Amino acid sequence: MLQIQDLSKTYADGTQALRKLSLEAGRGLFGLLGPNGAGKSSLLRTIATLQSADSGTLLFDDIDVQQEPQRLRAQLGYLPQEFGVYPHLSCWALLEHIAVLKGLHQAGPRREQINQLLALTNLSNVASKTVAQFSGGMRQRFGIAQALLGNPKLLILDEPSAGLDPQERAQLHNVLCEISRDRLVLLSSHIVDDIEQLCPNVAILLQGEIVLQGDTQDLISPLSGQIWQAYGADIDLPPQAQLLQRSYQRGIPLQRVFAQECPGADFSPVAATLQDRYFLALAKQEATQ
Amino acid sequence: MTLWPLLLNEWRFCRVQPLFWLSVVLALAFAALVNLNPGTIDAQPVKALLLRHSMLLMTIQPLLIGVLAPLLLLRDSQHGVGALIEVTAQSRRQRLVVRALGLWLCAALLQLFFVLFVALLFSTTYADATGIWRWSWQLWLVQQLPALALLTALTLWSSCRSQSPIVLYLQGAAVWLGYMLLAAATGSPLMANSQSLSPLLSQLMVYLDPYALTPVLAQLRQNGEMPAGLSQLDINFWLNRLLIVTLTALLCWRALQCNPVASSQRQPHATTDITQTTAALQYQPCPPQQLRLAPVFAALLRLQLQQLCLQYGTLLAMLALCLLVFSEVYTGLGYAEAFSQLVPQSRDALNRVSHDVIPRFGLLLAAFWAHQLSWLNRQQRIDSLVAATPQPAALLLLSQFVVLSGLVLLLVLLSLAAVALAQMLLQVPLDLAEYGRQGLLIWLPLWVWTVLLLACHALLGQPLWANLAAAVLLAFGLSPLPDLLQLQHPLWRIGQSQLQLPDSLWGYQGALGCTAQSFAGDVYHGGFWPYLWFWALLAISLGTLALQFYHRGTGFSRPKLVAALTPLTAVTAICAVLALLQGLHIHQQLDAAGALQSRDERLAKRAAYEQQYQHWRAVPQPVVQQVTLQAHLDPHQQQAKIRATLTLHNPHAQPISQLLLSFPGLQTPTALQQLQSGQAVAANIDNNLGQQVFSVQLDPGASTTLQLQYLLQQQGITPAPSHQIIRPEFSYLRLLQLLPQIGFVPELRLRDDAERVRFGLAPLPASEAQPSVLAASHTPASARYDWAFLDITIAVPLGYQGIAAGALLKSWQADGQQFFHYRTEAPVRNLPALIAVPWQKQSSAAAGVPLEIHSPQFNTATDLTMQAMQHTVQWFSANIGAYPGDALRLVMMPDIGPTGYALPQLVLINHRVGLRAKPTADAPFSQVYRRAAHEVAHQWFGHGIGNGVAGDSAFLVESVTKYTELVLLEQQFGRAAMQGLVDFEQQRFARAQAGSLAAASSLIDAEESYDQYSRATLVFARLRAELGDEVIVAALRQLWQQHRYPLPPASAMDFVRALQAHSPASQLPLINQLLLGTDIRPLLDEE
Repeated sequence: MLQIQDLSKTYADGTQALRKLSLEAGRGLFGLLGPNGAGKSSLLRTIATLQSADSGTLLFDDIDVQQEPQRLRAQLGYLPQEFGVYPHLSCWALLEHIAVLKGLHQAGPRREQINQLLALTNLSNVASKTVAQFSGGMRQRFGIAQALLGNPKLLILDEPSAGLDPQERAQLHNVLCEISRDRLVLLSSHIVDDIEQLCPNVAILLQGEIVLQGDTQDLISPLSGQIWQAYGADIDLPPQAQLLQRSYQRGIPLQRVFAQECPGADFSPVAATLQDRYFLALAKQEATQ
Repeated sequence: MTLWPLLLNEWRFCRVQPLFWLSVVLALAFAALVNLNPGTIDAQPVKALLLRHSMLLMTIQPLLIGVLAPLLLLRDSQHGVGALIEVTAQSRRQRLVVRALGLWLCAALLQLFFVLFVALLFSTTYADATGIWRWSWQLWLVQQLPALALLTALTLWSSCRSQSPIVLYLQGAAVWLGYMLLAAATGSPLMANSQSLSPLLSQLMVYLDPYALTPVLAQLRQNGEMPAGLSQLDINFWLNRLLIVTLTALLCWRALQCNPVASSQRQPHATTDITQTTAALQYQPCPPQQLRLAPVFAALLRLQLQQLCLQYGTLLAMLALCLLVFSEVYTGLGYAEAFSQLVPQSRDALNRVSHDVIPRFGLLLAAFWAHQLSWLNRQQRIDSLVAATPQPAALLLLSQFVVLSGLVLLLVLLSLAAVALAQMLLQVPLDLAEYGRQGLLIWLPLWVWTVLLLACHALLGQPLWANLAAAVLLAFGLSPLPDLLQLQHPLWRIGQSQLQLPDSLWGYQGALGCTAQSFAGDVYHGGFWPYLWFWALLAISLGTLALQFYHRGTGFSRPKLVAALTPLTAVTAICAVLALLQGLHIHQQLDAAGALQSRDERLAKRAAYEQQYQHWRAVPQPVVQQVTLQAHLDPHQQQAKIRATLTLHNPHAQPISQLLLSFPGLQTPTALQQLQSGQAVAANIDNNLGQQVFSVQLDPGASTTLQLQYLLQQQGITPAPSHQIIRPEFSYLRLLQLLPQIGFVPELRLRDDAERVRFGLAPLPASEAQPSVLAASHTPASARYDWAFLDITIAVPLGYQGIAAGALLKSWQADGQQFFHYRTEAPVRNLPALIAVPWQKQSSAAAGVPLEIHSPQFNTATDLTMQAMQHTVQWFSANIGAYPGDALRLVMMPDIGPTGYALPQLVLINHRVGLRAKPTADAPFSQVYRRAAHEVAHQWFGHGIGNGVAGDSAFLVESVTKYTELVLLEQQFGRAAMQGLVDFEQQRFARAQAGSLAAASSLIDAEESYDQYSRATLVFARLRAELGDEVIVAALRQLWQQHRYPLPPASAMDFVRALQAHSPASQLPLINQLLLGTDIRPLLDEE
């Protein structure tokens, strides 16, 4: 569905946000992973027609997005990383306004979908309240609702689970899995677990470039049997071991490393995750610099 | 916690804010512009310094505080860091004090820059540099800092009451506008042509003027001189400062007592009460329908209107505008002048606000709304959501155009409603057609502005740049910036036309072109439509460009520039080309009308004329003996064809071989001059300065004739020159600017010393420029009357009256025209004029002189005017001398500036004050009567004697006629009426001289109008009281008998000598003091 070839974007201050980036994504959920400043939001904004690329091609089905942005917008649902709302407008009124902008002109179906989305995002009870007074989580759910308005073939969600409580997050996962059957959902998140749980395909973006891309399981499988973890803070690592993550479990320091062989007596093998793959990519990037 | 580190912290914050530095640059640029006035040297530098400081304070201080206050006082709530700051160890009061102090210090520092800048300019211009620097520091300390403290305290108090920056912006605007209105209402010299409306208000301002200008002016009014230092300022000044400081302290105390207001970021709702019941729900898509623009457009309009109209700022601004309009109309409707009121109409009510208050306020609001609309989505951070919807960018922008146009229309309608309400409360009938016309003429330019402003915001991706562009446009459209930069072309005044206020005599004929019957006027020749077309085409061109390259509200989602011809690009290109053509058309028309010449260019020409032609003063030249004119006036076509024959006579003992003709006006003859026994010297035709030299052979006592033909075609693209008007309702041509003048004309020389030096000329010696020296012992030998017989035939359309000086010898009809033949029986001052009006006349006579009034209607005012004409002619005939003419004709004129004007045997009176006005209930005298008497008196003093002495002052013209006003008012209406005039002129004089920067001069040498009129009234009132009328009249009679044509002309000093001759010796010191002295305190002490 989405084909990106050699996409580059440099901002006026000289920041190279995208460097000859290429990407292909088909129907379903597609995850974008990357640290802050990697270019995820720039890529999503470019796909969402909000800014133009300096060079490269961007195709969605038969649409050349750069040449015909209006055609893409007609089948786009977009949730930016940060957004605001108009003051004085109720949740229902603002959803209706955006629905009209999205081309839902027939009042009946429009009303029906708004009600359904309000229920889907747990906002029915506060539909008449002013959106500007919503809490962060409620506002995020409103954002998801507005992105789902209409029948978007391409859904771009930039950090959709930010601010959601675990129950809301689970609910979001249900919705995303369901809607991604017949459309492309581009999902950007810092929470690697979300991507791993939801996305069969994933790309890791570092400094404006895709450093890894493919089937999520295929990316994780090569690490199988090479991920080790040990409790304790002062554990010496052999040179061939690559520290992936220092964290805590119930307050006890925990180290997770990548090594072909067991790095020490304190270490025990664990199952590889997407997070391990992500940290390994980051470590490699740092090493090359 | 000590104060200093906290203040340093404020500075560290300010110094990295672009807005702070932008304010610094703009404020300094404005200060520089205000002081950009090359060649001006004021006679009273300290007073000039005080006024310059006050002007800068009035214009910059409220705006500076308005811009900086939200930055310093509201930064926590604006940037969402309130929670972080409020939990620091600093108390709220400490925080407020530090920030208010920071604001005060920042603004004080900026004002110090202005003070240094102005002081530097003044100290390099004037000799007393030490005094200038001393006064500058003192003014900064006692005038500026307390005013700044009060404004800061007020802002602090407001910021404690509301966390909205809009409130502070509006407060800044209200203080800015409010002080200007107060200054205008109290007759401050900062506001041109203002006058005191209420003594109570003026007295209050003495104590409460934050800039302390009013108490200084009040002191100046009492003793006439600027105090030498701060210590000499009177108790009122210090009381004023004390009150301002007390008020500041009170406001600060109240601000610190205020409870903190809730942040504008409201508390979010709790989410725990929401039931999680959606696990089983499924997403059901709703496919969008085919793109339909109408519902989307309606939704956009609805939302944007709602967002703008629900803002407190919008509501407050609308309310403020309505109140301002209502108060302006309600309090001022019917005001004609002091002691005189109109019977008002809708046009008068609308005129009070339709050319300044509504367009200017409306434009500022439109600029504010344009910003709000353009960046609404971005400010609310919803721009990405909206920009990602499938609606065309053009549709989004078009909705903004429509919303803003609608809001501006609403603003105009509300303003008109406020006018109508005031009118109804005053029981003045409504003329809805006039409301429609003026409403349209206000709305159309505002609509053009809305397109221009929105186009700026749509084409520029950053709000800062877009607002800067809008500010530059507004500065050129609203402020006197083009004048300050000496940009003369009217098209530099962005979005402005040459529309003039309509009056009840000729409606819109001053500006809308020649077609009186049509409301729209002539599209191509009027002073409104050509400009509107130009700006509208330009705006549409930019608007359509914006439709193609709109950033969709994000600032960065702009489509790439492609070289493709679309219908919109075609419209852009066509409109741009049409705008260019229209601009060129306007330029050509203005050039042809001579409206593009700047003041400096005119002065340079006069200087060049003096340098190149002053040697002609010694060359004998003929005099004009007779002027014969045959004029065909076609008011509907705005056209005049004139054939002139000048009979030139050689009065000298030697023959004349060369003749210099000056054509000072722009209109040169269409046909070559035919001069009997003469021919033009080809090498000496100077088209630039309008001079031509002829070779002639004119023996002593011989005469010759010069024939000229003129074709005048007027257009309304620029306001008609005040003495050359050809319009259907009123046509008036004074031929002074048309007919050539013979020889070198000394009156064309520059008189101001600074200007003469600037253009390379030596200052005129006192013996040529100062009347008391010029004729100290006798009238100068160069004095000569320029008088001639006038023989004038005027052809006008049927139904019109042709009017000129002289006896009407014959009137007849031929070729569908009415002819009038006038001829003076004796020579008169060579100032021929033609008038054509479609009105009837009222006739009378006094002392054997036929009197006529030509007016569109006759009422009690015209009856009073006729009485004034009769009384004046009778008094002069009985006391001074017989009327020097054949008949006297008074004609009402439109509201084009002067209230009255006299020509030989003709008088023009502004219909607004002469026909439509009546005395107010408390009027001690009738202005209608006074003005008519004054203008009629000019037939003796002005056009009888008082001319012919180059370099003499206006004393014999304007000052002496003030004496006749006093005599006639007392004679006809009693002593109280006369005393009323004296009291009125005393107030006017005290106010005018307090604000004047001119050097003190004697009444005989006076060049300021307040001296020539008001001071003269006081002087003559004193002379009447001390010497009596008999002595003064005897002196005037002697002057008339010894100096009337063809005897040698009189100078002002001849009157002094005559008065001294008729007065007892004991009164000579008084006469010398009043007429030749410069001390005005004796006149002010009588207040």
